[in-house]
Amino acid sequence: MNVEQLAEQLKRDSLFMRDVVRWETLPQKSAVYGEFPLGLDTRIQPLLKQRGIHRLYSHQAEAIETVLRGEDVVIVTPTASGKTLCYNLPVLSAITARPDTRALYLFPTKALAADQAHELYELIEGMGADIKTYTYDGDTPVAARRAIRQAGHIVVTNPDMLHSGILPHHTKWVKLFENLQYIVIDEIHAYRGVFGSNLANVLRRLIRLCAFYRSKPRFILCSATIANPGELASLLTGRPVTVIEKNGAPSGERHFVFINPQVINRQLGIRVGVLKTAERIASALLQNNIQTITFCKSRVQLEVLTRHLKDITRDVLGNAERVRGYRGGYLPSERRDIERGLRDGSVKAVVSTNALELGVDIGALDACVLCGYPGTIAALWQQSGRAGRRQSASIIFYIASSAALDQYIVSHPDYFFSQSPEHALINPDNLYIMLSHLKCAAFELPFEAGESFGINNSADEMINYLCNNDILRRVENRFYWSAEDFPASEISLRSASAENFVIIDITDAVRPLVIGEMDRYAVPMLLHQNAIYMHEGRQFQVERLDFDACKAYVRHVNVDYYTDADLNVSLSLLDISEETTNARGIRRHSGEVKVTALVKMFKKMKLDTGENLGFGHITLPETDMHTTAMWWTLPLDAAQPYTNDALQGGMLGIANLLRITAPLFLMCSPRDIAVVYQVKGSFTELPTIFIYDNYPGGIGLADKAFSLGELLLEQSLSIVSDCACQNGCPSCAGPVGEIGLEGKAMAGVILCQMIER
Amino acid sequence: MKTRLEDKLMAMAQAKQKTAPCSKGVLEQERAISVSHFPDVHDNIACALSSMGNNDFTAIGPSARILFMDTETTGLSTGAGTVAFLVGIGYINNGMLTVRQYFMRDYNDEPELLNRLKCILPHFDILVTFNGATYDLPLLKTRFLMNRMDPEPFMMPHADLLHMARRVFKLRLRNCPLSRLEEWVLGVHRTQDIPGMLVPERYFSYLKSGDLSLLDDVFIHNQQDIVALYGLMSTLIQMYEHPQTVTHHQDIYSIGLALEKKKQYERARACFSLALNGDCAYQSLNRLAHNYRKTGEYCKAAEVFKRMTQHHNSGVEPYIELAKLYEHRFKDDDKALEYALQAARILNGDGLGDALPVQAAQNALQCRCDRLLRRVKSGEEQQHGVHGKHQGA
Repeated sequence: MNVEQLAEQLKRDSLFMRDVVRWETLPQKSAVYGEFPLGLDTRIQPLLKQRGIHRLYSHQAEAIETVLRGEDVVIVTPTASGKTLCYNLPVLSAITARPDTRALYLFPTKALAADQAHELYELIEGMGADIKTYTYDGDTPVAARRAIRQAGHIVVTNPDMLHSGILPHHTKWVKLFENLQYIVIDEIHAYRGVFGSNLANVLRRLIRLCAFYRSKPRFILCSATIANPGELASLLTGRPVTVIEKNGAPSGERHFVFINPQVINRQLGIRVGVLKTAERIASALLQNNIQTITFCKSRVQLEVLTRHLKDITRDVLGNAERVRGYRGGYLPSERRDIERGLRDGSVKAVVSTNALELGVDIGALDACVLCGYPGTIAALWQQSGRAGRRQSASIIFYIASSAALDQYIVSHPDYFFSQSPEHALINPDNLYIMLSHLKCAAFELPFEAGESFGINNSADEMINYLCNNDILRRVENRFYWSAEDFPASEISLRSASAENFVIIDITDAVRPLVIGEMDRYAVPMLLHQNAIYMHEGRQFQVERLDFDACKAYVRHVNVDYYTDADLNVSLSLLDISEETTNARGIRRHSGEVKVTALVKMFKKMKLDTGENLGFGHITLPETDMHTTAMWWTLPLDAAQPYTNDALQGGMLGIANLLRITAPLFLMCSPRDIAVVYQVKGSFTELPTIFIYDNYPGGIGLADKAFSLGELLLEQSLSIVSDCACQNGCPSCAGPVGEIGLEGKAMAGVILCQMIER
Repeated sequence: MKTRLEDKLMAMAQAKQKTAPCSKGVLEQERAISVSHFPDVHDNIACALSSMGNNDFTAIGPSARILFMDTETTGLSTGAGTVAFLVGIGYINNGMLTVRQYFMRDYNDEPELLNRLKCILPHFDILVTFNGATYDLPLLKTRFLMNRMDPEPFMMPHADLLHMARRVFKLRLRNCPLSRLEEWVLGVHRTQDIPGMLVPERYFSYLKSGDLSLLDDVFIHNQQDIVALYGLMSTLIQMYEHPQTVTHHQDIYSIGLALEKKKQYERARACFSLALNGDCAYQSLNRLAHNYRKTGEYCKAAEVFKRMTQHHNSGVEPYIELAKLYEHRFKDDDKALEYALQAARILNGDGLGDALPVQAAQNALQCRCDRLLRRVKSGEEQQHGVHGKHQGA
């Protein structure tokens, strides 16, 4: 059976259809082509013809035209729409025309960089041109580095390497900096929050050095579908960027099937497991020889599902090999092998973690099974984009678990289909982040008086601060780095604070292994004694936390619960930047706060269902953090009619709902923000609900939440009123045990009271 | 020797305190220092340096002008933010070592300092440093680029004494920081030396206070380093030219290895012969034998390999080498087989177990034995009666 026939059969299967909450069919779309841009080197077009590319899609042609006009550009297109040509063609053309030309490619991960370099090699080989492309990262042998610095036309690297390996040593890269014409940054939607704020500052440093070497590079950026690609692109680059988002690539008919497995415990809102449902669907696809990718959220899920699928196909002909697992941690050669198998069709089913979500080239498949919500709508589109042939039909199954976000998506499919509402947020002017990079910049090149750092950011104030701290020295009108340190080594681009905790795996007592790092601010919540820490899908239990030495010792475990620490937070006001009152007398504020956090206990929660399995105590010192926040206050008379308990339960319910909706609309991980309610606010004296950025200095999340107006409240209300549970469940206001019998109802009542319309 | 140098340095430190610091511009000071306590350097230094390292300076000719250089910096990394605030150079003038130090009173003196360096470099033929290849030179090149100057002057021939010293002393001293070489090789003990890691901090303190005396020991340290550069170079040359005067056999053996690498077999052989009475006697014999083999003097090679077999810690190698020589060079299969069988006996009986290299050697040896055995047998079949004669030989 092909995809169409299978779809018809499923539609007639009443047992299957019982769980289907929405079946959406997107019609097929034919290709839109554009003129071949005249400005490209004449050697390029014959090469494309040789590779079977006779015409360019409209978005490719438009992107290339824009680049050739000298504009900075961001291309927003779905998976497999041929976006790499949008940057490879102008770059290769420029190098062919003037062999001194250099280009820098940035990818968020090493694996992706290696992949793209590989694709480039093939293209260049086809051209028969002498264009040298190298990946430059931590794995590059020292012996090869000199050649790369001197002779690499295209240097493919990641932001971390640019930050600590290239910029501080720019004098060794004179050729690159003097001749840098294009900076290509792919997957820019991955650069949000702290990572993006850091990258924006790394790019400020890069541009500053280019100015020193008198080169004026242009940016070519690519992004998955998000609400604000243009804004993100110009925040990252500090320039206006032209957005190209009309996709000209064709696609076949696509079926989206939203599945919500049956409830088996109505009280607790527990449903049939995702894995069981996924297993059934993936087996059916496999038996019909439909090439399928299944995305799992954990390594354990992946291994279980892979084993099951292998079991049902195992025979003497070795057909079990048609089923493969794919995740980080597999050897590169093994991964290449699987990717090849997917492209040539010898692998029929692959079970993957999000390792295959980003641009790794596996061609287009027929079907995609998604075990739960991957965290953002952009990722959901990217994962489902793995299925989608240009000519024939494809089918995508989204299976919801009992988790709150999963349930939100499955009961609001329109949220997925309508124009992407997610904003990728960054704050390049976060004082902590900017100051760290200003130090790096001063190390790389002395500052001149009056010089700016970023758009409209005079650096004077920060420079004075660094002078007063004897890190810079002013001589006449220039500021020189005057310290022994190597400032780039003090920043990790992927986390907020300089003081990181090291996570050490002591499962093998003889050979302890450092497996990760964590921000100081997140440590009390996530690495307290007995916490379950997840790393690359594996579970670890914290055996000991040495707070003074900044070390956490963990041991590998296999348990069916996760831990959730209870944070006692008090907030004090530093500054109010904006406030507004609606017709109901509800005030909404944004500003800066000091958060004093104390973690005293944690809960053990069952995986999947979120059931509470018990408590534990934590003894740790208080931590202080300055960050940005937004908060709502209820006027006293609005709260008057309710008992303290009712108010408490209702506000907790609203806080729980905001924890679901805020990450959705702010495109962040639930850990990036904190939602706190106080029946009598620390400084407001009124019932207050706070949302603040869980990073020192803030990364723009609370500001955005403020500017969303009442959207978060409206969405929260719709969840709580649409949820079928009686008195609250983990998918809406929270379980009864937590919010009380009246909690769910009260949350609804108070929300109605807060919303203007 | 030690006290004389120290006195001089102390006297100099006091003299410097009296010089009134001027407030602006590069500070330049010069001292002429006697280096007569170090070995005399004959005039073809370029040639001597060529046999000590990977670089070939012979094209420069017999009267090469040598410039010693050492820098003091504001940090350990070679990133763009690290500055060489003090650059010391040294050269021989009228039998004395002239040490000249260029010092940045502040950051804006850097272009001037680099300019003076740029002017002085072309007057010399070879730059001599200690670890300059990985540290001082990349750093100075960076400084040139940061000041929009062409780092071309540093493209001159360069001899890094760290690499040369490492070749000679690594067996005896393992790692070779300059201070250690100074003490163990030159016999100079610094008493009040400032540890290198404190140098940047001193400079920052000076910048804040303007008190130049904070840097007194940094200046002395830098000067001592340059004197030590001269001392080390002349001592190394002396050791290469006159290995018979070298005390430690390990050093002589190492020099032999270095010369062998440069294909100077005669000189290498002389070193190995000198080292035959010390700790590396067996290795020296081994190299000596291989040396003869390489130059085609097979009889002498065989002789030395035979001497090796009498050595108390003789391994299997000389037997194998002898088997090869007799098989391929002397065309004496019987003798070759005899040595091969002896080698096999040792290899099987030495309890080394099944380690892979041993197995590989065993396999190779087995092949050799089989081949020789076949040939000896077929030889016997062809000419009866010769058998006994061979056995007696």
